[in-house]
Amino acid sequence: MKTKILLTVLSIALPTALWLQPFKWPSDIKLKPDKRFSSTLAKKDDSFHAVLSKDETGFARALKPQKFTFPNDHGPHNAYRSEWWYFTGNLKNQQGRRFGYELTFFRFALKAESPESKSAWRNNQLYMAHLTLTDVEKSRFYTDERISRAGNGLAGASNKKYQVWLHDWSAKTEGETDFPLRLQAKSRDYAIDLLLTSKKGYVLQGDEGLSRKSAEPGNASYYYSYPRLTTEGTVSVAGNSFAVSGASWMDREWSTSALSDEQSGWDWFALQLSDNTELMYYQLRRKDGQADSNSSGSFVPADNKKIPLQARDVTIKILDNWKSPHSKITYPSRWHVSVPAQNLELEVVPLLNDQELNVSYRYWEGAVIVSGSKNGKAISGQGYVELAGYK
Amino acid sequence: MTKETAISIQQLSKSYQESGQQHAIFSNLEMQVARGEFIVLLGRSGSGKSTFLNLISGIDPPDSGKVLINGTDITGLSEHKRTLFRRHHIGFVFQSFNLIPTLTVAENLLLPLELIKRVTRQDHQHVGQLLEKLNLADRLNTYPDRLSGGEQQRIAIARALIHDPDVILADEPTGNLDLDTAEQVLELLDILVRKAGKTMIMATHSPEVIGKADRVFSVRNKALHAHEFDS
Amino acid sequence: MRMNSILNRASRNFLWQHPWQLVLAIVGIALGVAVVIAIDLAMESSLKSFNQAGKAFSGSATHRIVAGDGGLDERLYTRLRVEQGIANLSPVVSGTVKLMQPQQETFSLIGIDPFIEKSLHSGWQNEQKEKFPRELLNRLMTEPNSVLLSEKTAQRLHLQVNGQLKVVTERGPQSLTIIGLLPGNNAISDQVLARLLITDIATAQEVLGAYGGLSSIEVMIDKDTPEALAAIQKVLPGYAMLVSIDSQADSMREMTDAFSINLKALGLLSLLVGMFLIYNTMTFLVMQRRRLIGTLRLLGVTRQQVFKLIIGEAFLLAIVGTIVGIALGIVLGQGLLYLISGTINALYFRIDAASLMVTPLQIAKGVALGIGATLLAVLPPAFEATRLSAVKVLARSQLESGSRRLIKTVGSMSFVLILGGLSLAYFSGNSINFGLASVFLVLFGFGLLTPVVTLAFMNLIERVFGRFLGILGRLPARMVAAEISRTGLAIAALMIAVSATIGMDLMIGSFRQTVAQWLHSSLPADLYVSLSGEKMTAGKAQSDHRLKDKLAGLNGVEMLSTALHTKVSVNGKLTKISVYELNDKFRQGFIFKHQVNDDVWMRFDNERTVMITEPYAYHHGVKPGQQVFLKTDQGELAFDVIAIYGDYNGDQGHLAMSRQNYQRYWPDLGYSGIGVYAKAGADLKQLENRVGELLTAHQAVKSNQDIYKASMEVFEQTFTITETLRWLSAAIAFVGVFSALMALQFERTRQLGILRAIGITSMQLTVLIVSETGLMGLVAGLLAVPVGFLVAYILIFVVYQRSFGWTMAFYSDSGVLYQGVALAFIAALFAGVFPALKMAQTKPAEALRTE
Repeated sequence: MKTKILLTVLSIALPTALWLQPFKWPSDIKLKPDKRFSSTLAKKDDSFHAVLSKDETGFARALKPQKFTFPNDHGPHNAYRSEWWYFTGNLKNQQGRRFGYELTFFRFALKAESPESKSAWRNNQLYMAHLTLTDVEKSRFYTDERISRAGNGLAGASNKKYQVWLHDWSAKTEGETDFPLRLQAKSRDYAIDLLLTSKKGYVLQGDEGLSRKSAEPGNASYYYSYPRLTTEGTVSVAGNSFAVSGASWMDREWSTSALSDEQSGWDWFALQLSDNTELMYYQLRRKDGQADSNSSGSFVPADNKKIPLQARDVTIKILDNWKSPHSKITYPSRWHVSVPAQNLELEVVPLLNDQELNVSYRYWEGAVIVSGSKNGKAISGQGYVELAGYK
Repeated sequence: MTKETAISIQQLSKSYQESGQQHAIFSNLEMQVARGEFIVLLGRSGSGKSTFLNLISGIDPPDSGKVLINGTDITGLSEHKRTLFRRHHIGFVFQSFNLIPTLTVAENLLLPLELIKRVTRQDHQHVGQLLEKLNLADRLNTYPDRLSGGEQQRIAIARALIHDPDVILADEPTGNLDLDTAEQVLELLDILVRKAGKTMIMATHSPEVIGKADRVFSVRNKALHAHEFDS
Repeated sequence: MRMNSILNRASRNFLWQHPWQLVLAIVGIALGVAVVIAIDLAMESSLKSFNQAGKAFSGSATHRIVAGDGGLDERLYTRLRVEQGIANLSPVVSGTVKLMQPQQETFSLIGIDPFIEKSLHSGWQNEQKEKFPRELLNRLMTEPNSVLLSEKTAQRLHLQVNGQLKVVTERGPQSLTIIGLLPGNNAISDQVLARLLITDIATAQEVLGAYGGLSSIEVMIDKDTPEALAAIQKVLPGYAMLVSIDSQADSMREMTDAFSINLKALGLLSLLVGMFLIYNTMTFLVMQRRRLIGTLRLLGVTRQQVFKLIIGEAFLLAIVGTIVGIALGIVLGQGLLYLISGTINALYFRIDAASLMVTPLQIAKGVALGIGATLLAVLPPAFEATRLSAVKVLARSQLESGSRRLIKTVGSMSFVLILGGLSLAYFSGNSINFGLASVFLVLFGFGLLTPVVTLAFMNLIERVFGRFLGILGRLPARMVAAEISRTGLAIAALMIAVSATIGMDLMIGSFRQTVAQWLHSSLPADLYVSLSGEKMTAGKAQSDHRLKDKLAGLNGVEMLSTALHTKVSVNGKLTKISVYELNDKFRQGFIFKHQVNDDVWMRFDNERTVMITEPYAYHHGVKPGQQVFLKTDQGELAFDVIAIYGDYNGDQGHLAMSRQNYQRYWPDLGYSGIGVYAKAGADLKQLENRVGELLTAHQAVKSNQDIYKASMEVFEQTFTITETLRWLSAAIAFVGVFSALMALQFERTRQLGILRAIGITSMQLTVLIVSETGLMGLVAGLLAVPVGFLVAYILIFVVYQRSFGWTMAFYSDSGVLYQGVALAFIAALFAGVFPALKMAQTKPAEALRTE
């Protein structure tokens, strides 16, 4: 009896003691806003870049030219810190409606060493992929991004045959040979499904594929390109499919460090001209605004015998600028490119000014058309320009 | 004044507190009441008549002074002792609501007896006879709320006398009654008390009583004033 | 207007002059509101914190892919992502770890992939963008054994960034590195994060040994892409299910429905008693002012004005009482929350660290309840007040004779209520609400009958004892009877509280007996080895089998039985299933709830059959002879239900299946427990030691006695909340009786003064009053016994069977009855002591002055 009365008293006293504990009012309860994934307006995040330009210990470096073997070198080079598979192209349907696309797979090694583990998820290779589509007629530019670690089959690349993938986005050969290569990627509102056939073979950029970015040894990448890949397939956008054809450009590059401290970024041109020649040139920019002397490129004649280009061989004049309404960054938006040795004078104009990618790592990458003259004769062309490191 | 003194009041003072202030009701009262005497207290409402009765009965203790009843100084007794003293020696009649509503008429009458002794068959008979005298014999087992005001007061008087106390204190016993009934009740009091030779102090403002009283006092200005009558 | 304000003052001054009554009225309202609010708050908060915790993790996930205890194959995630191209998925590996510190605190270790779509990021990841640069997430992914934990927890455990946290898991002791702290920026995230370690999915698999598996996959599906749902459904294996987060929350609520209805019924009981308190006080206040009201009426105050006066006053009291009640309810809720989440943890699902959440809706409910109940309770006295004629100030006695008539009417009405309650119980079908309503009707009916019974009892007392007791001795019974309109109500309130107590005591006692018997029969083995823990741990099945072989080979072991407790989808709902490998002794332990054929065990072992527990049968309306559909790796298959058996382990019900059957359709998850049957004459203590030597840290051997004890402890824990609430309503009843007695004694001040003048000592007066209240308690107690029995009967055979699907035998316990009577008697006695002392101390001169 006594204990029960005691219990009764306790049941009143105990809660009173608990009074001292804080409790919550509705104002304390913050419900999470429903943050729908936005494919184009995801916030830019510079930290990626910052992370990758620090600790380099344990990574291999691009010091001297190496012999490439395929399909092995189409595969990943995990000993190097970063690597990419870059596909850009200009496409048209039968009615002449123009599209530009970019599908890029990046690989970043977050650390040189990966510990042994029974977990399939234990993996230091992080893949990132960007998919863009430029719908010229509708003046729309679509971007999307995927990120995943390599573990558990979620992303990766193969040494056995050409295959690189991240989730359901992929670039892979469907037969025994490296080409034709099939690119498949879809986002919410658009998708590409393209078959790329090699027309001219590859070109080793720089010195036998070693592309120096600054005077410092090791600040270089291994770099080869497929400058002209005949492309056919389908582009879907906003619920409509278009049978398209055109030409793509593929860049493969891997390195541990590229830019030196005084360099701020680069302007990269990959132009396919109407006479079956191609021009690739990247101009490295220094923080003081001057063009860096390590800028380089190549001119690929119709016979695929590459002619290397140095900084002194190429002059680029900026004819116009465009200020991004998203990032408020001003990018150059029209260029005059002249290669005197080739008697080549070109004017490069973006198909659309707004081809800025506001994804984890912000840059401008857009389809361009080219007009000009070679040896005094009119010439036209198309291509892609990449503007990186603008602030 | 050779008669035996029943009540002796000496230097009696009483005051009450109101909003922090001391208000005197009486100071240094003196009074001697002889056995069998019938005293009437006159005074306006609020003059302190009830308080005076309560002081005599020991219901209310005085601030100073003495109350002797049959030679016992009740002011010197403890509350408990005073209560026991009251049981034996004092009978009360109030203005109204005199009776215990949850007890029958008979039980109301027997209660004072039960407090001082074992109630016997004779006591029951006594109660019956008493009620017969009061013409209320048929109301023996009735509850007070069925009685008229006059009947209730008559029972109250009977109860005040049942255990044969020495002193009867009546506080405006006719205050709530119409004139005729009041007359009857006073008559009854006079007969019963006088006959039994009891000492009685009655507070009232009905002047009819004055004629029956031995002495009349009025309470004025914190003191008792004796009325002198031309005989 | 002016008139009204003076009128109000006249009546309000009266209130101030009776502070005791004022306080008790407010206490009455406050306690009633407090208990109801506290239960509501605690219950809702428990469920909400469960949902919030989910939200903080799944971000804006809309669905979740879950599996039985074996978890999901991690390749499913790859299949969904790579082959199906389904975006917005978040893989989760979770488990529990114990801290290696004296208290052995348990933490949830949650392994996530930090690089999924932002929309599925956890709350902390979204909110703490600046504080969680990619760098930290990179480290989380690349550094084995790195974890994040909340700032508050780090402070509490005196841990710092880069410090080590020692934990014990299935795989033994491990050291984790703290690489960052999660700042909880609001109360919810603090709560959610309090016992959490966030890590990379790879680390989680390594630490928990859950290689190859995932605990769940969070899914966000846009409303405009329902085809993703179909795509996921298409590739889901048999053991996995896609559930919507909302429906999961709903089913949690459903699961706890019966539990919460029962609690709320207890809350309403308190309110009922609280309403009595209010009624009592208001009646008192009206009675006391009969003279005042009479005078006012004489002065020309209309009935409406008097009515408004009374109602207005009650309204003020209600507001104050409700405010106090809500504050008190929040405090009380804080205390109940702990108990309620304890019970939910034991019975339903896991809730970590719930915190009390107060929403405006709940406050509004409390306000409506407090004010509504007060106004309802004040209506009768308010009408009574307006009935008072202008000239005649009613004498109490006339009032009482009126109420005696009323009491007779009410008495006959009570029979209608009781009969109605009983037939409602009989015809209430599956409804818990009707079942509880019948309990209320019966209680209320007997409550109304109480005054009649009291009168009869007092009469009897006087008849029997009157002659020995004398007039003074007769007074207590007389006083009870004379003021029956007041005493009757107090006795009724006490009776209701005590009979509810007796009823629940009997019910819990019967339940305890039933469970104890069931436990005895269902624990036939001598020793039980528990292999509990993460079933996702790789290689668990093989090591379990090895252990079983070793156990079988031990000296003194006669035979073994095994059980595996897991979940499968049954008729589209993830349901607990027990997989048994039985022997004859174990088979005898099954208590079937109906006649079974001899071939039941043969069919159980060899055919595609299941047995179901009583609650499962009840909740899902499944009978033997019917089929249930289980999702297997070979698709949905029909299983014959061959028997219903008794089981008191949880109220949601589960299925039993033979191991042969299970292994045909599902992957091997090892065992949850192995029963060891000793040979006759074997030394059990020695055998236990030998078994113990074979076990790892996370396995344990217990004797059937130990398990029995532990199970009974869980049982007791489950009823702690019920017990507490019961005593709470008893406490309110006590306050009610106390206040009624205070009022009663106060009303009779003058009467008591006359008694004192006649020569009754203060001691005698005390005895008189205490005897009166003791008598009241005695009537309440005596009446409460049969009513308590009836309540227990309805609770056992109607309410609990409906709520939980359990049948139990009725065990009466005379101790409970004595206790009930004693409780009522002593409570009333106690309640009488204070008013008695107060009255005894009142100077008779003062008492005589009052009228």
